[in-house]
Amino acid sequence: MKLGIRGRLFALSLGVIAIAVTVLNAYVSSELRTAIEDRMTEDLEVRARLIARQVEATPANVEWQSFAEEIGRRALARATLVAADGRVLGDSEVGASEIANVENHASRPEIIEALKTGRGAATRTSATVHHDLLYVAVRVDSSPVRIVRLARSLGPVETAVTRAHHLMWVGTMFALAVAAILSSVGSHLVSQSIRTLRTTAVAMLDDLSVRTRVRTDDEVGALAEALDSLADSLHRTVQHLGSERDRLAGILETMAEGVLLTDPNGRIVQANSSLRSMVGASGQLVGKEPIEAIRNDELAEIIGAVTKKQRPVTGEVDLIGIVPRRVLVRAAPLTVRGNHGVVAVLSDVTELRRLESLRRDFVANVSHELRTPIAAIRAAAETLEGGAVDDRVAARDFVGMIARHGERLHHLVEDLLELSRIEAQKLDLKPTHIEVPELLDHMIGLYALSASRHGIRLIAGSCPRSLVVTADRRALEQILSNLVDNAIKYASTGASVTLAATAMDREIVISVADTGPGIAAKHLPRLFERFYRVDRGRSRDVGGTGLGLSIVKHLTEALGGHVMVESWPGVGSTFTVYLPDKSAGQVPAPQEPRTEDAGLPHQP
Amino acid sequence: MPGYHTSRDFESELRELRAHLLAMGARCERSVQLALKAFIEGSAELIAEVKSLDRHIDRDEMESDELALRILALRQPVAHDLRLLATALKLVTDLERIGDEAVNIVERAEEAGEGSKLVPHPHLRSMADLTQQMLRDALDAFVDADIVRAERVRLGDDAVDELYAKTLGEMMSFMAQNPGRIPAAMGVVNVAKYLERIADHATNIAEEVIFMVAGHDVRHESQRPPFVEES
Repeated sequence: MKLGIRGRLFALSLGVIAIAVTVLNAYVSSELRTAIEDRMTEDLEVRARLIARQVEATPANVEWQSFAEEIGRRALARATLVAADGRVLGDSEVGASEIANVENHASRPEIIEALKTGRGAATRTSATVHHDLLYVAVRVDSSPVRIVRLARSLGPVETAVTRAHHLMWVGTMFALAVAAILSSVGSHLVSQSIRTLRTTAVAMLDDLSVRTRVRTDDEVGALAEALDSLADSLHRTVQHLGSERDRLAGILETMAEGVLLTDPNGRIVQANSSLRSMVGASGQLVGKEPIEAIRNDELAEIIGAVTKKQRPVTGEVDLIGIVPRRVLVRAAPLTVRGNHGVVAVLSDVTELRRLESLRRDFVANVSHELRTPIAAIRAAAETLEGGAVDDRVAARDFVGMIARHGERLHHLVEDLLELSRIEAQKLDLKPTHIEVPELLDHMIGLYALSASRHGIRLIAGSCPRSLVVTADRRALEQILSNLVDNAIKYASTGASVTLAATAMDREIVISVADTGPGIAAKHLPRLFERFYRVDRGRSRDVGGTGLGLSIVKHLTEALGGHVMVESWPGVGSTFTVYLPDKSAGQVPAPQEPRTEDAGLPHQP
Repeated sequence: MPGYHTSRDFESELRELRAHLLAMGARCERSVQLALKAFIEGSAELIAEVKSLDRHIDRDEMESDELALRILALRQPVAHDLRLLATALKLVTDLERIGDEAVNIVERAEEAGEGSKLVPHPHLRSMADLTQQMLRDALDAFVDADIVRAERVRLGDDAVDELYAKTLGEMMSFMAQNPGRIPAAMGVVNVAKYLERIADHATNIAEEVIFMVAGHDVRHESQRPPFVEES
């Protein structure tokens, strides 16, 4: 059986009291009995000696039986007078007629002892009376009576001892009751404070701000204080760790890179929100294996390789999904308290790779574009140097060639500079009110000669008479020049180029449509890129730099508009410039450059 | 995975098989996406990549089969584990076929070259998107043991069939009007057919997932007489 502190304390005190009382009882009763008996023995001996002196003074022929009866009455005890041979001469409790029949007393222990030493004592159960009797005998020296013996009952002694016993028992019971109450109260007080401490400690499991509030000087108070300071220190540690964790979580969440952490079993234990959006994860990531959470074999292979080799691995991975992404994965082993996991950092390099390829293409294109005219100039110069300079006709040809290619180089460099000026937004744009019909007429006038030389009809299409656009005239003229020039260059003989304009939903729309060969759909998305050419050979034949449409796009955007192209192979192409209509009062916000293809026709 | 197995080896073998299947599935998804991109853009690089992915997928099929058979032979699994293994064996077949269909698509891309761009195919793009979504959902359903998602994949199959019929009709009338572009139009028709087959395989995968999770076979349900208990 299990006892609490209270029960144990109570049982212990009861045990101690019971043992003490039992020992005391035994000791006291034996001591009491001995003391009373000693007193009685001494008392009887004194009386016996006094009687002995009286016996000595008594003549020898006296009637001893009546003498015995007399002294028996006076001494308040049974008196027996015994002769030297053991014969009983008189006894106060025996009748005179029977005295001769009393058996010889010579063998009685007290009498033997008294004859030998002068006094003797013994305790025995009398044959006549039922309780113990105390016999004390004294020797008499000069008389026929040799022994005077007195006897008294021990009954009163027993009574006294029993009474004492009773008193002791009552006292014991009382003491036990008091002890029980006191120990119960004491142990209750102790166990109650311990229970309070326990309740507080349990409450601390959930809320570390709870304190015991026990302030005593005893051991319980010390325990309470220790508990409180333990809670204080735990509270501080928890707060510290909590803020540390919040800080790290905050950093992880604000990172542009996706972060993934796995445990020794290869399951994800942490993933930040960048990772989730990067992989387009909708459900729970934590607890799954990477291949389950992000179904990408290459990523899983990288993480597997790190686990196997226990060293960092880097690789690029294509994440498929609604928005395909190219992602640089840097994965490394991570050991946290002996647990080997993997941490993978995913950075989105889609845009970076696209820009890199653009730059690569640009450098390659520029060098290529520059090389061709330079090679032609060098060849012509070398030929002249080699003797052709003396041949006037040939020399004129070669010098013409040098001039033509020099001109092309000049255009190229001019276009590049123009483009970089537009891109650096250092254009000095001065918006003025331009009458669109007049502008279109002006453009047609400018290109009439060039068009007729190519056998192309230049047509003024529909245009509202009072249409006005607010824009920088020089920029707008350059945009239209480039578009019309392109149309004339690439359309075949007999084709027509139409310039038209209209106002539409807060925008002024100017279009240049040709009935040329058209452009295949695959070229359309890249048509406005620098140096992008549908047909390299043809472009160079007609003297293009490959930058014209790029300049158109950038200039239109600088004017707050955008440009679009529609084309049907075999039917023709239409380039449309959309400019904000500032006369309508509201200026639409500059739009994102829109150069997407207009799709293929449903019916050519 | 419900419960744990007494044998750590068995547990890790099953996990390995799952990871294997999922990696194979990921390759198939990538392969289909790249193949469609190759068909639209006509990039030789992408064509080569799809073909190399298909070789990898074929290797995956053999490895997964071997792994599944080894587990079957050595562990004699029951209940859910047995269904997982049976599903794995069927799943790899479907995945492998999907890899083959991706190769078919890039072969049409090779033949067509630039030609396919001269054919308008307004419904092919949405068909491609839907098919890829079905494949993604089917594999997601396998990962999460998600019957609801598997059922959704089965519903998608009809929509794909409808888009296929539409594309076919459009191509017929296009070919009638542009006899010169019949080869290119045939390429589009074939790619649509391959997409329709990929959608069928995705549907199979979804049905296998339902069998794996719920333990009842949902294939060919419409052909079965009603109220007949399966033995």
